[in-house]
Amino acid sequence: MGINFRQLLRAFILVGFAALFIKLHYTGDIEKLINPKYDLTSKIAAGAFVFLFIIQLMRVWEIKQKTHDFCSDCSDHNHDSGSFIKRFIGYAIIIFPLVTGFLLAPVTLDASIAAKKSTILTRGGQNEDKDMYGEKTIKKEANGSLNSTADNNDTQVEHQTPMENNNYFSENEYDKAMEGLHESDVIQMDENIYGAYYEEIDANPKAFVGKNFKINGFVYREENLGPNQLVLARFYMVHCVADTSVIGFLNEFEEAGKFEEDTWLEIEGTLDITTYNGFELPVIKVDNWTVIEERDDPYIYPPLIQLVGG
Amino acid sequence: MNHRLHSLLFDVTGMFVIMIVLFLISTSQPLGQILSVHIPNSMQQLNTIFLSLLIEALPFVLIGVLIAGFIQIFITEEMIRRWIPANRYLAVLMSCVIGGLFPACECGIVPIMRRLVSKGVPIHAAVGFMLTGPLINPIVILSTYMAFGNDLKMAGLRMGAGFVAALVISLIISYFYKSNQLIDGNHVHAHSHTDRKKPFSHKLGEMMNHSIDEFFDMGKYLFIGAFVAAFVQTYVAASSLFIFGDGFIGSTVVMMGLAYFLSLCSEADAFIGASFSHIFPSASVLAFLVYGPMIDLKNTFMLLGVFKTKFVMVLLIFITLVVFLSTYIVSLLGW
Repeated sequence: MGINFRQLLRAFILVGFAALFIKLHYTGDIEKLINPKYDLTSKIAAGAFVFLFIIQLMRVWEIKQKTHDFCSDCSDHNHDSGSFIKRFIGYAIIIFPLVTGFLLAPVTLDASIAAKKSTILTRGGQNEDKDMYGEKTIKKEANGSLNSTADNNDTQVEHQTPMENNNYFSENEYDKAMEGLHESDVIQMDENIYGAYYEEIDANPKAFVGKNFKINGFVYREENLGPNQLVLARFYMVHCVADTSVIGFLNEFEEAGKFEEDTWLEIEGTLDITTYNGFELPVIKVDNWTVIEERDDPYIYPPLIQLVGG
Repeated sequence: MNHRLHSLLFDVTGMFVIMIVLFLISTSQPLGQILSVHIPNSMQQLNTIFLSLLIEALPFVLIGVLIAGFIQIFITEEMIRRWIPANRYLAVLMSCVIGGLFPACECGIVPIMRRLVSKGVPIHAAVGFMLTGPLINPIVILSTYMAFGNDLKMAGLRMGAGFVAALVISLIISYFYKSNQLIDGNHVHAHSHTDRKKPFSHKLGEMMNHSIDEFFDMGKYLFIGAFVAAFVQTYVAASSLFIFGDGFIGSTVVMMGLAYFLSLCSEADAFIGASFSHIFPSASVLAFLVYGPMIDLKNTFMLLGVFKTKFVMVLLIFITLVVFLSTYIVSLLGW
C-alpha cells in the first residue's frame, strides 16, 4: 500500500472548495456574489463538498485488495490518461478559482461594469412605442395577481424598516407600499422596495411628476450627459453578480459634474420629464445632496419573487 | 489489511489535509491584502464576476455529477436499449419530453449527457435531452412568467418555440451522426459495474467515486467557460454588439450573441431578457430566452471536453440556425 498523490491532491481540492464556500458565508462576502435568497443552495454545496472530501479520503491510500473491484481499470476515464503537462494544466485550472477566491476578497461592482452593461437611459423610449405601452398596461393590471405570490411568504416586517437580505412582503404590506408610491408626495426609495417602485415609475413616469424623491446610489455617467447631469445608479441582482443589470435615475443639479464616478450620494429632489437622445424619460431635479458611504447592501433584489429551490 | 489501522490512517490523512488547507487559508489573508493594492480594479471586478458564476453554478454541477455517477453505476446498457425506441422520431420526441420533465440546469446537464451517451443512448436522443432539460422546467417557466410582468405569453412562447426547436435540432443531428461522438472514440463502456452480487453500499461508494471523477473532469471546462464569460462582461461593452442595427435580424443576432457570451443561468436570464424588451422586438428577446439555455460559452467548453470538436461546432451551428429560424417564424406570425 502507498499514498496515491493524485487522489490526495483531489482531496485537498475538494476540501478547499468546501472551505471557500464556508469562508464566503463566514465573512459575509457571499452577499457580494449571489442573491441572499439562494444562500441555502450554496450552503448545501459546502456540505456536499465536505461529504465528497470524506469519500475521497478513502481513495488516498492505495490498498492492494484481492477483489479488484474498484474501477481503476475503467478505460473511459480520460483524466487517467494524457500527458503530465495536460494533467498539470487541468489541475491548475481547477485550483485557480481557489487561489483567487482566497486571495482576493470579492468587491462591489462599480461604474466601470455599469458602463459595459446595456445603457439604461435609452430605455425610457417605451412611451413612444405602442406595443410596449400595451404590455406595460397589462403589467400594471396584473399587479393584483402579483400580490398573490406574496401570500405564502409573509414575513412580519414593516416596509419602512430597511430589511437586509429579505424583501418579501405580505400582500398587505406590498399594497400599502405601492399605494404610498401613488398617494404620498414624498417617496423614499428604500432598498427593499426600490425594484418595485422603479418598475412602476419607469412604466409611467408622467404620473409621478412633481413628487419629491429621496434616493441613494452611486454616480455613473453615460455618454452625452450634460455637465449638470449624472445617473444615480444601482445594480439589480436576480441570482448572482453576473446577471445584474443597472437601474437608476437621471439627476440634474449644478454640482453634478464635480462628482467622480462611484461616489455614493443620497439626494432629494423633484421628479420631472426630460428628453434625452430623443426619448422622454424621468429626471430628478436635485435640491439636496449628501455624500454617503457605500451601502452595506449595495444590490437591489427583485421584490416578491419567490423562486422555489435554485 | 487491518481494519483499525485503515480507519486510523483515514483519520490522520483527513486531519492532515484539513490542517494544511487551514494553514494556506490563514496565510492567504495578509498576502491577499498586499496583492489587492497592486491588482487593478478591473481585475478584481473580473474575479468577483468569475467567482459569482462559480458559486452560482457549483451546486448544480454537483447535482449533475451525482446524477451522472448514479447513471454510471445503476443504469445498465440493457436498460437503455429497452427504454429508448429504435425509431429516431420516437427517440427524439421521448428525449425532449424527458428533458422537459427533468429539472436540470445547463451547468449540470453535460456530465449527465456524457454518461448517457457512454451508456449507449443515441446521440440525437442525448442532444434532445440536453436542449430541453435547462429550458423547460418549472423554475424557468415561473421566472419567465414573472419577469415579463406576469404575462403568460412570453413564458408560453419560450416553452413552445424552444420545444419545437429542440425537436428539429435533434432530428437533424440524427441524420448527420450515427456514432456516439465521444472523444474517447467508439468505446462503449462495456465492463460490468452492475454486477448484481455487489452489495448496495458498495455500489453507492462507487457512485460517489465516479461523481468525484466527473467533477474533476467537467470542473475545468466549467471554470474556463466561466472565466471567459466573466472576462467578456468586464471588458466588452454590451453596446458594442449593437452595431448590427435594430431590425429583426440585427437585434436577434445581438440578443443571441448576448445569450451566448453572458452564459447566464437559465433560471435568471428571463429578467435580463425582459430588460431588453424596451429596445428590441419581442421575437428577438424570445431568441435570447431560447438560445441561452440551449447553448452558451460555458456550456460549449464543457461539451468540447466531452465530444469531438467537429461535432460540437456542427451542433452549435445547427442550434443557432434553428433557433434563429424558429423565432423568425414567430415574428412573422406576429405572436
